[in-house]
Amino acid sequence: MTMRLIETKTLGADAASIEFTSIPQTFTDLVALVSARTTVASVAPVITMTINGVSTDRTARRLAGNGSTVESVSTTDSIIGSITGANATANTFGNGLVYLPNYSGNSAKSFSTDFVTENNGTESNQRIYAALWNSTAAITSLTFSQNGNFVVGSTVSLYGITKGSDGSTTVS
Amino acid sequence: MPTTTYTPLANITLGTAASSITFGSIPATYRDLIVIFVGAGSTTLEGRIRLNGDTGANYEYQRLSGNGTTGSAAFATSQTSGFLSSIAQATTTSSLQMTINLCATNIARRKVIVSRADNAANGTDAIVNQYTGTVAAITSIQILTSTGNWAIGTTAALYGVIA
Amino acid sequence: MLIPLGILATAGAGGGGAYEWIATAAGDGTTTSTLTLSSIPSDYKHLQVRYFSRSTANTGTFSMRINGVTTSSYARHELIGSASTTSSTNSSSQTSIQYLLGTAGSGAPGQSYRGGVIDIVDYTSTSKNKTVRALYGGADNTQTTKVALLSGLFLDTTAITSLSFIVGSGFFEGDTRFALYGMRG
Repeated sequence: MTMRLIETKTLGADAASIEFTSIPQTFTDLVALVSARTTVASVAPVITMTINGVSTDRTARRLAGNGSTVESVSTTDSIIGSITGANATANTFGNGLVYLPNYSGNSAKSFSTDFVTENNGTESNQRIYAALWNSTAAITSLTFSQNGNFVVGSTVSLYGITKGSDGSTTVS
Repeated sequence: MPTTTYTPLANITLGTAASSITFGSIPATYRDLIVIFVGAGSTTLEGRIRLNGDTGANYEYQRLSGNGTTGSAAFATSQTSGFLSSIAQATTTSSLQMTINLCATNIARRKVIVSRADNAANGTDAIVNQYTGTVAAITSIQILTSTGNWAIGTTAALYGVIA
Repeated sequence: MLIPLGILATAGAGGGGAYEWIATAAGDGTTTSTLTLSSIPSDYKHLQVRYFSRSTANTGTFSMRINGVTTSSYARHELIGSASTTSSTNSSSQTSIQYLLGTAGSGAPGQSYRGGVIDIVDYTSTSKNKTVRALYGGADNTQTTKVALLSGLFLDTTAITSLSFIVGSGFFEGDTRFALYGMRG
């Protein structure tokens, strides 16, 4: 079948980042599922993702809501969404999806993200991102970070998806 | 007994520019179908979709979009194709990426499509389409441009999910 | 394999597929005002629900409850596009997570349904409240159209063992489906 678990990392102590290295090049797409909270003193601070250790050559456009207002912003940083921070309801973690298609190819790397935080109050973030890493290098590592520490229990699961054929469905 | 699913059905990488990519002879085994599309266009265009070859005014959609400056939304009815992405010039550097979830494709009801579209140079969309044509099972999915061609190197992959 | 300091656990790849269909709850149009996915196995890492819904009554709303909890243990926030309007909304201390305009109702054209994909990450954790992410909506144009990215909060660190979907009024129509999938991790 097409979706396979590459690895799940779960923090046993607060840590600045969660990193996947030596990502196999045998899949078509990568999917990361994130459940994370940060020590940053905010309700919904940002989460970043560097690719192959590089945080530059990035472009993104996002659409976001904070529980009250809608905004759309263009950026060139490595922010991919927002997660739940220390000022949000206790024991509450953000929920995010990162989809990286054709990650091992030799074209620039477009990817998408959907991230939500939560909080038993007015403020909470929902964000969708169109993002680009303008590099033709294959993706071999992903590092998730934020501006403090991820708290214990934060987890990221990385999956590989492989395209294929059932032998009867046609495409042209 | 849980059953492994998310089955790859077909895929293509365009070797020649084309105005559409069509998946056909799709088996009725799957409840949901998922298309993952990454491509560039020959000009400024929208991504569009047709089901079972229907070119009639049988599509309606609601979109939510952000272009990097402003959020916007729109609803349209009686379209001759479904809406998949806001108008943009997708290039091989900043390609158009779409994740297209087609719901209940083998159930005799009107089909619903929940999708996302992303182009870092232009914006991001969340979209719902309803197909108001036949309630028959989906046997073909056409991903087309509103104008111009998908570029060489554009990729599309189809997956099936049972339920 | 050495586990890096600070990482509690790393789960490596197994040999089989990571995405599995667990169960489906289906509407019948006459008795199913609530559809429940129960006895959810605990051996996955994340859950996904794919739904397709219509009500027999003139309502566009259904609600989701977790583990049968009916108290004010939920919150909900949404980023919404409806007609030509965008909005960002918030609701706290709720008795369920509501999916407003998440289902077609009897006022919608015949055969029209609404649908979406709901993701719950790390659902077995006993140290986390549960956060739901959903992309859903409908474009049948005799009731208000909508597409939304929803976040929902269940203020309880208990592992998830059941998900209930409750229609706003009437019954879930036949061919309504809430299908549950598990992702290994």
